Amino acid sequence: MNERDDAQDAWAEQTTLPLEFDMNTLIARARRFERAIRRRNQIEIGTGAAIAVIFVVAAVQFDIPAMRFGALGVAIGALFVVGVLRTKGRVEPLPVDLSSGAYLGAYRAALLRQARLLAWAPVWYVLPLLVPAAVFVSGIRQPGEPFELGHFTLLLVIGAVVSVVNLHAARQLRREASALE
Amino acid sequence: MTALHEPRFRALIRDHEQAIARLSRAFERDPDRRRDLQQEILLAVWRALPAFRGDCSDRTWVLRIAHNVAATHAARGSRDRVTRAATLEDVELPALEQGSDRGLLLDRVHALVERLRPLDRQVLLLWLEGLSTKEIADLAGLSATNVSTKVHRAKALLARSLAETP
Repeated sequence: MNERDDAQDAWAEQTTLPLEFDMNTLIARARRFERAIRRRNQIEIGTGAAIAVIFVVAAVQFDIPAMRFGALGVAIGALFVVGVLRTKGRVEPLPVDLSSGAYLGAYRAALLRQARLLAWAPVWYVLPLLVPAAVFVSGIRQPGEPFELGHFTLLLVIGAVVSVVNLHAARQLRREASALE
Repeated sequence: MTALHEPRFRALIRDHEQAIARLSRAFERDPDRRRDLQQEILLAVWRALPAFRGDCSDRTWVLRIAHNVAATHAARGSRDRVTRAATLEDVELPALEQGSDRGLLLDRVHALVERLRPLDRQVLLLWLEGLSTKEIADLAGLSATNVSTKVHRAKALLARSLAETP
């Protein structure tokens, strides 16, 4: 038996259904794809800028030093997070017609870079927002009132949840990258 | 992207739709996910078309895109499960059912393809599509010797697997 010819013949003789596609839908999908990338960039910058503006305004208005410094810290933290997302978290689309070795290697490297960034999210994402938020919350307490643990606990829970979600996402990206080895 | 590219796109897809259909079947058993993969491939070809300068044959170009998209699609599907893909050196094929020679052989081929890691899978699929060693090497970014070795291993695996058929 000639395995080569037989295997290739069997392969070529498979019954396959014709590809279904509608040109208008395809063009609309391509445009949506481009728009989604632009929108993601705008949302990243817009959200960071909005948080920064809100907390700068809050910092100006509050008289209590802890709240003022805390709000200012949150604004700086938000700008820092956006900066990290824009520089280290940016995903440039790869030319899909590269040779597969090059394409899959570059794709894998990008996945691992994103996974590292997500794994370090507690440091560059959670802490820069959580620490000044804790300072801000400490100022809410009126003089003479007992120390309020509720707000701090809430902040810690939020920080922990965000960290766990990011670590889980990092693990998924590593799994995806290892499937490309 | 303009309507100028539409006739070229339609011609490319018409000429290579069988190969795309076979490839997507090799990567996705589930019909719905297979249709999604085909749409992803078509979208990628459409988006890449304006930059295509004919540096390689149409077939090589379309298959390269299809393989890259299919490999990343399959990898995305593995996010929530432990990947068990193997290389041609350590892959194991399951026991065979009885059937016609041609049907058995095709089952063997699919079983082998499904178990391979992306680059080995690509080499095997391209060989099955009838590409030359040089074309496969260019497309996959491997040396011709490496491709020959992988094809030889795949053929030996298929032959051994068929010889073990009860």
